[in-house]
Amino acid sequence: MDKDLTELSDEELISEFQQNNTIKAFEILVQKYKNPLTNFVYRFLGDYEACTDVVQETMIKFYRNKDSYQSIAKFSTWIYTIAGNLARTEYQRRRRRQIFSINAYGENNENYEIPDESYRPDVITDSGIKDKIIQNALLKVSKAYREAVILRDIQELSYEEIAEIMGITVGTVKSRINRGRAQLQKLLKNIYNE
Amino acid sequence: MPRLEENNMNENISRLLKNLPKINAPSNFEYELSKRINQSEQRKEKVSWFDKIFSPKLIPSAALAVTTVIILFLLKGNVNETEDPFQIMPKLREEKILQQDQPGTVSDRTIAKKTNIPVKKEKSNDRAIIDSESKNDFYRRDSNISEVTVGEASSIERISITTSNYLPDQTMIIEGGLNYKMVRSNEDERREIEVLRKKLN
Repeated sequence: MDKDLTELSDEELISEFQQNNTIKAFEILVQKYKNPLTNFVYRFLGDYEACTDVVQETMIKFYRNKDSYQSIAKFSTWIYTIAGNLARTEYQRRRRRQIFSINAYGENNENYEIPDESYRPDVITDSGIKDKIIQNALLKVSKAYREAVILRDIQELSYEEIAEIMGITVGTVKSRINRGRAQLQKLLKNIYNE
Repeated sequence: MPRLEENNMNENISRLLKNLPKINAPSNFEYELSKRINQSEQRKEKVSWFDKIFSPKLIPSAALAVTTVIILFLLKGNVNETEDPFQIMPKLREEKILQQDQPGTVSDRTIAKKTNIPVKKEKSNDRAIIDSESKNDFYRRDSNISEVTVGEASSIERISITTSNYLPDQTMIIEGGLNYKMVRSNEDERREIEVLRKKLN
């Protein structure tokens, strides 16, 4: 039975999970999507701990709301949509918190630094510094453009899939990707001139 | 040329992003996930119906609902005390003015018109008055009296018809598509009617 499940497509697996509540099908899907989703959310948020929480929350939502998935959509699109929504919410929450803490410091006219406590796994790679610069530049790109660029250039999804995930038209997706890349180009002038 | 530059820029950026290292989920991801799912399910089971009803989240909305009900109750009480004149149904008149040429009556106006006799403008004499209830009910009541008054130039003669004078509805005579009521009249009345008929002819 397990062997059969591993051979099933994503859509067949979720159908199995919906109809027979087969936990193994859920586990296979979690196994398959945990890394791509972690990569996507990390590039969007820039914080590994927060990204892990968001991906876990995505999986919990998938577990609880399995019946809301309809077979007309691709499973990958559905799960990316959940993750994207949660990542956006988390991003907003973190931004509000950051603004609040800056204001709290600034009231007394004290010198302050925004602590960067996030753990960055890319720092420990060979080209760690370069990757860190790219990641920082990515975080400076507008939120809507950033999501489109990540889904296209990092996750390598099609324009149609991105349009479905973000709930916009293909034309808007292309436009956002171009604008996002243009912003990145300005931010990364030094890097790709090397 | 700018198009080519744009394409190159896009390719460079894409390449840079594609070469970024892939970030993987932590090794204990599944363990943490199953722990969180179990915890949330246990919490769900523990929540009793009592907790659901009296949950702190619902207190403000419950308070609002109770306040609304109290306000509505108070307002409703006040409305009963002071009646809105526009909301009161008008009292039904016990009399109903019978229009001209209704079945069972002969309008004095019609008679007057044909006989060239001026009709007295007195309200009570100008109309045939019947009960406000249905026509059938009227004919069945002995206590009600209807009047048909024919005015003349000098004097007003009244033909008083009590309901006892009327035949029941079944005796309605239909002649040439018109409905007539048979009326029992005394000698004097018959004479007067004859006089009127002659005048009409």
